[in-house]
Order: sequence, then structure tokens, then C-alpha cells
Amino acid sequence: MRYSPRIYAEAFSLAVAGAKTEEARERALAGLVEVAEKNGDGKKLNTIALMVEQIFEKRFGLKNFVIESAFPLKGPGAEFRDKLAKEGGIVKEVVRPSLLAGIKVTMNSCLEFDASLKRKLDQLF
Amino acid sequence: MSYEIIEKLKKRIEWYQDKNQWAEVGKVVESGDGIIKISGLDGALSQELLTVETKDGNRSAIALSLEEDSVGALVINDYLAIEAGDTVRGTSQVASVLVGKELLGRVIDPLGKPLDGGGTIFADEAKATRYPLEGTAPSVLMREPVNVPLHTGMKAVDAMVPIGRGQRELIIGDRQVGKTALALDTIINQGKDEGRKPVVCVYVAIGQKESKIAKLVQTLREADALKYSVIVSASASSPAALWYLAPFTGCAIGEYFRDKGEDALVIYDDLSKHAWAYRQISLLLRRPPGREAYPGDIFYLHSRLLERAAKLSQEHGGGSLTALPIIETQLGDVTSYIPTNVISITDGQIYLESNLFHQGLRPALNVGLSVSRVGSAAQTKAMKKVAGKLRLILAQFRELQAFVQFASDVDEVTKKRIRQGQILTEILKQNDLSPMPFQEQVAVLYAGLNDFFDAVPLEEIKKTETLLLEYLKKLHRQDILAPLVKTGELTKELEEKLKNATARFMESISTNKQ
Repeated sequence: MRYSPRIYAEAFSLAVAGAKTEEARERALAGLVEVAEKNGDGKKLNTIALMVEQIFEKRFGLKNFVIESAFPLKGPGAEFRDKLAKEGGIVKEVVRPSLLAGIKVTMNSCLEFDASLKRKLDQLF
Repeated sequence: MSYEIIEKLKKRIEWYQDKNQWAEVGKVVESGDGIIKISGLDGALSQELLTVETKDGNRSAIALSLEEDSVGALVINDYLAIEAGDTVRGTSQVASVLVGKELLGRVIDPLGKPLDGGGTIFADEAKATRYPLEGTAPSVLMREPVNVPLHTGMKAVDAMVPIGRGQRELIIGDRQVGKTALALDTIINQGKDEGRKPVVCVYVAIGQKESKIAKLVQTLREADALKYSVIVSASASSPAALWYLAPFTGCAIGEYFRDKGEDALVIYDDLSKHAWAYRQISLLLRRPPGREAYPGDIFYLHSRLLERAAKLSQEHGGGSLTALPIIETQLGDVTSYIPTNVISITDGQIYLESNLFHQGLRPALNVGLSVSRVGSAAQTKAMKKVAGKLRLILAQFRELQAFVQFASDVDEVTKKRIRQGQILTEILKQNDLSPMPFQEQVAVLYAGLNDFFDAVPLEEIKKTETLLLEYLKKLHRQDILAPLVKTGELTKELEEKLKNATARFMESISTNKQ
């Protein structure tokens, strides 16, 4: 491997930050994939994507929320989701029946708020 | 019945408080060879225990590398279940092991799980004590000088390289020279050493064959030594993480008994393999390799482990932890990296040489290169009196041996010295699994050093020694051997009795021959 995933991620982040149009951003993305494959680092693209996400979170204050719930969100849950989206966060909703009830919110893959019934039962037993 | 179950359920959950709060988590980015790389978990501390949530249940890992954008952790149980994307949580705890008297007689792995099929060790784990694997060594003020002997039962060692309780004495030599045998004899002898506090023995097997460990357990069981021993096993087929943790587990167990005011002995067999495991882990964590590809902190790995062996002062319970680390050399090279590191840490070394072993001198102790920095402070007064000149006599004999090969005519004084050296060399030979209590060692060495065996042919020395000990045990147990055990001193009166008894015995032998 010629370059570490971090170097690819840093370079891509700078290219995207400097791009003024959607077209320019698309070119930067295509360029990243091309260069990585040319260097034999195609297999590291997943890791590079993860690092790009981290850089965007730290440098540009991007907030990435994943809301997991046992059932599709309704009522207060849906309002909470909409509120996060309005504040500029990227919100992804995942239905995970194994949670049994309640929700689990992960922010930027490093902070987690787990109010699911599954976690309570795991703690109890 | 349903009411009972409801009541039991209520009691079971009455401690539970529903607290939902934000918690720091990380994600596994890479996993392989027992090492995981975690993204996130910025607040992870060094040596912190982490929990990895896999689809097959939780796994534990220890955070070892704290890098700018990731954490490198060592998985301490099954790592094959861990995949990229699994969630990792911190526990704010360090790795620890359950300790207690319940461990005596058991064989466990470095995580405390039983391996001997003897069932659960602790009936209620919540009530048992936990000791951290990376404990802090006692400070200078908590210690006192080593002054109580730890008898190995081997005459050569107890007379010339005495070990004290709280000392670190390295056993070093090539493969198959008797290092483990010496350690095993030391454990067995603790059941025979009267007049002192009993010693709890912890044997840590690092990277050993499972057949060897099984044989060792059987040997200890047959010698009735397993009841005061604990075996910590990280066998050759276990992952490098367990090889790395095993000595720390053994040390933590020994520390438990030390802190309770008891005496404990921990044997690390062997630290060479421990160093290999740490090298493997460090290279997988991409730490920069140093000399012989070992990481830069390989010295600290062993120094922090061995510093935990100590003799505590009476204010802190008066307990002790003695360490006998074992190092395997290659072709007798004691100047290579790991051996020199450990030699500089320990309070002396017992050097076993292949040449001597193949010549039939067993234990194959190289008296010139072996030393105990604690010395006679760790000997009973009786042994000090009897064996004080032994090292010097043997050193003179070694020089004269070389001289005799080239010169056939020697004067009477030289002949006598050679003869005495040969007798003492024969006396110091000892079979394995036959440790000798110190009072018998004193009697035998007294006879050898005071010319009682002069008239005995060399090939009959061992037989004569055995007969002498039988004679003393049958006829002089109360008036010679028992006082030696009780006081540890060879008073003038006792010496006179021993001298007369030995003289009578030797006379009866020569009369029988005639």
C-alpha cells in the first residue's frame, strides 16, 4: 500500500471542502476511487470512507445520527427524529426488532444513548 | 408457586436503577490475529478493559495502543467472532482475576477459568476478591530486607546459592538441563520444610506443551504438593494474549497471599516465551521494533512484573512473594538480549550448564556463574556455618582438576584437596523429585566437609549418604535433627553430638566391611 487510509481521507476532505459545485465534488469522489484502485488500495476504501466521516464530524461539525428502534418511529420518536434533522444533522433510521422496545441513538459512531428494553434486560440478567 | 417466582423476581431486580445516559462507544475497524483496531472511544485509558459486542456475545479486550484516531486493543478471549463494525464499549476497569484460597489445588487459565474439570472455583463470584493483573509494586517503605530462607531442597542451591523469601532468583540455562525440575523440587520441598511458615506456590506455564503440564500436575499430586499450589496455564496452543497475561495472573494470585501476611512463591516458566508473545503483540500493533525485533519497552515488561516480588515489613503484614523466573538460553549464550535484561533485574541467578548435565552432574549448577545477591542473609545459621567454605573449596578443586590432567605427581595437600572436591561433588549430586529437608542437608554437608567420607570410594558416596541419613533419622531424630529444625542453629553442643554420631556411623560401616 502506498498511502495510509488517513492520507486518502485527508486529501479527499480537502478536495471536497474546496469544491464549489456538485460536479466538482463528484469529480473528487471519482478521482479518489480511481487513485485508490490504481495504487492497489481498493480494498481499503471502506476504511477510507469511515475516516472521511470522522474528519467531517471533527472538522466541519457534521452530526451523524443513527436512530435504531424496535418498530418504525411514530409520535414522540418521529418528532425527535425530525428535530435532529432540522438542526442540520444527518439522520438514519434503522428498525431493529431485537431491541424489543425503546430506542437507541448513536451520534458520530462514538456516542451512544441506549434506552432500549434489550439493554435494560441485559443489565438485569 | 407463581407468587414465589414473582417475589424472587422482585428481589432479583430491586437493585436496578434505570439510568439512561450518553456513553462513549467505538467501532471495530480492523480485526485479525487477536488484535483489533477501534475507531472512536477517544476517552479510552491505557490497559482499560473493553467490551466488544459481537453477534455471538460479548468479548473482552485490553486497550494497549492509544493513537491519534484509533485504539489498538488485545482481545483476551475468542477473537474469531469479532468483525469490523462491532460496537466496543469501555468499562472503566482494568483486567483482573478472582483470587482466594479456593484456587489452591486448581489448574486455571490466565483469565481465571478452571482447566482441570474440577467444577466452579468460586461459589459466589460477586463476593470473591479481585486482584488487578497490573498491580503496583510495594514501595521502598513497605519492604524489609530478605532474611527468611526459602529452601529448594537441593543441596547445591541451598548451600551455595541460597534463596530468601521475597527474593527474585533467575533460573537460566539451555533446553533440557533441569530448569523446570529444579522449580518442581522447590515446590515439593515446601511441603517438607519444617520450622517456617508454609509457602503457597504458583506455577505459571507459558507456552508449554499440554502433555508437560499434565505430567507436572500429576507429579505434584503424587508428591502431595498440589494442595498448596496453583497452576496457571497458557499452553502452546493458546493465543499470544494468554501467554502475555499468564505471568501477571500468577503474580496477582501470589500478591493476594502476600498481602494477607503469608509467604508465596511464583515460578514463571518461562519468560523467554513471554517475551516472544509480547513481541508478536507489539508487532501486530505496529509498534516500532527495536533490537531483535522486540519492542522498546521489553525491559519494562519484565521489570514491572518482577518488582512485585517483595518481603513486606511487619507493619504491612510481614508476607512475602518470591519469584523464580526461568529463562531459556540458546547454546549457553547468557549475553543475549532477554537473558541480560532479566539478569540485571533479578537478585541473582542459578545457571545450569549443558556440559555439566551431560557429565552427570545433576543439578548441573555452574557454581562460578551462579550467585545469590541476598547470600547468607537468607540462610539458617546452621547452613551458614557448615557451607560457608563450600564455594571456595569447590573453586579450588576446579582449578586443581585442570592442573592434575597435566601433572601426575602432586603433593599430599593437593591430593587431599582434590579428594575432598571429588567427595563434595558427589555429595552435591541429587536426583530430581528428591528434595532434601535442610536439617538433613546440614548433616550430610557437615560429614562431607569434615573428612568423614575420606575413606569411602567415590562410587559409594551416595549410598553412604543415604545410610547416614537413615541412621540419623532412626536414632538421632530427637536429639540432633529436631533441634536443628527448631532453632536453625548448629550450637557447639549440637555439633558435638552430630560429630560423635557421624563418627560412630562411619566406624560401624568400616567394621561391617571388614
